[in-house]
Amino acid sequence: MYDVFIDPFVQMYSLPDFFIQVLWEGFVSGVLYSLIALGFVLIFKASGVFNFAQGIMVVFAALSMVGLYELGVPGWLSVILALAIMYALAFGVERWIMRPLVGQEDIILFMATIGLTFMLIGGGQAIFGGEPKAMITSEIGLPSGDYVWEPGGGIVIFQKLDIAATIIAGLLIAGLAFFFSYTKIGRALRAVADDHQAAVSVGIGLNQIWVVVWFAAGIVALVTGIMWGAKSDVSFALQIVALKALPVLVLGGFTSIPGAIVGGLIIGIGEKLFEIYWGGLIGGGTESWFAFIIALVFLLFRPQGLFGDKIIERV
Amino acid sequence: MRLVIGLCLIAFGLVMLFIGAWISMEFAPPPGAGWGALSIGAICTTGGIMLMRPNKDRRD
Repeated sequence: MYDVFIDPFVQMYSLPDFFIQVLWEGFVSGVLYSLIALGFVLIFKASGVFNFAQGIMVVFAALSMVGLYELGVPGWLSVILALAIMYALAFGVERWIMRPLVGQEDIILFMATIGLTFMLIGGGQAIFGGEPKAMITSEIGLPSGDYVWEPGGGIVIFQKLDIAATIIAGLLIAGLAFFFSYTKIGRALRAVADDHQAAVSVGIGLNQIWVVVWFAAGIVALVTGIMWGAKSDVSFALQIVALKALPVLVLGGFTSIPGAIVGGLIIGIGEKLFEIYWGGLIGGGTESWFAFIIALVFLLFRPQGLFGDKIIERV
Repeated sequence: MRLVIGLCLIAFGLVMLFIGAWISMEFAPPPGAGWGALSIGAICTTGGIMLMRPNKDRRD
């Protein structure tokens, strides 16, 4: 009992610099989980489809960028071309998947995104190969090295890459929030999210909106792929990281952008704290599965999530 | 009914994701059983989320 309820807090108090370090690393992971979850929420809100392909879109976007660089394209140009590829993907998805399936049951659209997942896996492996690739960080202007902070004789290390990832993710989230709240397309998108038929009846082009949404999700996927790829390698195993977005959505609510952000931070910081202070009691390695347990517990008490719409079922 | 089935699917999916993550803990990329459990978990969780979607947005 002492090891579970007292000792971890004693350690946090006695080594505050290490505690801050753990919190910071959890915060950075949380921001990146939020980004992945944001990609899911964007499409789910606007089209009512849970985009199963969001995880592989992260891998595909990052692989496109690295693959183009390996072909001799300069780093900055490979970022722009990867964005162009994500736009082409958004256009193709709207033209050949969403448009022919308008009016079908949501579950059919969902199954179409599962099909898209396997197309992207197969296509990605055929074009770029299945081997892990190193992310091009310095070539696209991301910093390396670290800052050292020494509070009261302790030491806390902040990787410059992590700081950059946090700032970029924060700017992207703020930019998307501004886009959805204050621009004409953003307001049209919210109208579509609220009621498809009402939006169409007042002259909002559903097809154009879907391209915008899928492209926004593609941009989020590229940024996420760059950041996660810089922390490990760019490979198809990176999809597993995207699965962490599912418990984030259960926590935050399936249709809430603030929910995705808060849920991501809770999962990121929670799993890191648990791994460091409680993980040793059950053999370690808890970081890979802790998020799913948290989500299961949360599902029992608040199934709609922290910020989700209250679920009302009419009989 | 949709709500109950959706909740059950999400719970089952999260359990499968947990099992998949547990199996894959020491491997990168995960072994076959790990991928299988992760895939089933992801499909069930996302399918459950689709079912729990409020009815107001449905096109039918």
